[in-house]
Amino acid sequence: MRDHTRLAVLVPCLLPAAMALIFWVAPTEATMGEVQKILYLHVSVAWCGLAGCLGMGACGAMYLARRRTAWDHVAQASAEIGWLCSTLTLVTGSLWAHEAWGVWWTWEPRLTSSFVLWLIYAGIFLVRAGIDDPHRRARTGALLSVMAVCDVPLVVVATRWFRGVHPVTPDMDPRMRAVLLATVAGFTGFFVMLTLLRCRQLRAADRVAELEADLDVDYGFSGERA
Amino acid sequence: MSAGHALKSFSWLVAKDLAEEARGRRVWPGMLLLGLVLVLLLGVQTELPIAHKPQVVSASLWLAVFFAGTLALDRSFAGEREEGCWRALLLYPLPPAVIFLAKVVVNCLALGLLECVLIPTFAVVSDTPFLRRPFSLAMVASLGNLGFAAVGVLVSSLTAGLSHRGSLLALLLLPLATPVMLASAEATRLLVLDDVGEQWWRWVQMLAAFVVLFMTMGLLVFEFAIED
Repeated sequence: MRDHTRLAVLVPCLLPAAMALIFWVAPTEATMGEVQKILYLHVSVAWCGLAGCLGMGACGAMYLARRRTAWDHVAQASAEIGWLCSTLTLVTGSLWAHEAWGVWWTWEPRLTSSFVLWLIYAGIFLVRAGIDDPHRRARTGALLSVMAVCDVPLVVVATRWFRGVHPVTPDMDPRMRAVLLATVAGFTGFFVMLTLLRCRQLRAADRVAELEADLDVDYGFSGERA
Repeated sequence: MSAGHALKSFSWLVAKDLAEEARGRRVWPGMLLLGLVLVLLLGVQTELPIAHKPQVVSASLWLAVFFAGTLALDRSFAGEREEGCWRALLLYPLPPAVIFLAKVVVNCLALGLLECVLIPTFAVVSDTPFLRRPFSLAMVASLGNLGFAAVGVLVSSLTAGLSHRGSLLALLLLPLATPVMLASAEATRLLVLDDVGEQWWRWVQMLAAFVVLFMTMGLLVFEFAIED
């Protein structure tokens, strides 16, 4: 069985297990009550959003060094799933902020730098979509991915450096910490699985585009790559 | 290539861009005018209590500078491509890092000129003492210009050949330059408050760290950005 197929079987079991841990094992927080449980999801998707950016930057650098399309596939897949996770981070964070701080959004350093990361992801997609030549698209995407990595340390240290109100590694009940780690592991597996599946889809789209070019026909699948 | 030849080529490239702008006046007057329009629009919104003014005005000033500055950055490579100079420039036996440095210096000069006009104008229209510590402000402005120009030249070289490059440049550049903008605005706010202490120094250090990061990245990856 291939690696991503194994993951595709394993991950659907991991995520319901993580949800069960959140709702049945993790103790309810005294001040915020049940709403606090969104933290487990929020931290997990936030981690995947940052990992997506790091993966995108690393694969972009590898593409520039080796010029193999496979690295561009991983960079693009990583960026797409990272952007999805980054969107979920903003949504879950906003829900949490509404309960904890009484507002949906505040210009707090961690929130602002996360939003900037989301904008950078979106900008990279727009640029990629505007370039038809696959090699130029990959090279431009790779360079922008390397530059985007600069925002990751800013997101990580924002609260400490700029003294924001976002919580920084709060003291937690050991059961809460264990559930949080399990949820992060589950979502990381989900992130890897989606990235691998998207990579396979991009490879297939490239292959179809090559065949279309060879046969001089257009079935409309080549648009999938952009 | 010897260091002397690289230095001479660098000065020629800077002189070429400055001479082109002096003859054609294609970018800088438009950039200055856009900066003044932004100052006017932002200035009329600053009827604020004294306590809130430094923060809002410092951030607005840097927003106006960087937003107007994108016009100069946009033309850095687009002009070369439109006039057909790009191919000749790439054929010239010169390390890409020298082209990158020359473009950064020309854009820093453009931003410096813009600041020379906008800072006194903003100080007058918003009644804010920007020039309380002129040398410290010049240091913050120089670092801010260098950081913004470094990341801007890189992004501009990538978007130059695209059909909708203007909107893409602003869309990519402003989020990527956020750390530079943030540190410049905060350091300027503390200068306006005459609070040049440890906190001010931390913002300047952060600004310098991002300038070093963006310059190093630019020098390393610019050769990939100008491949055709």
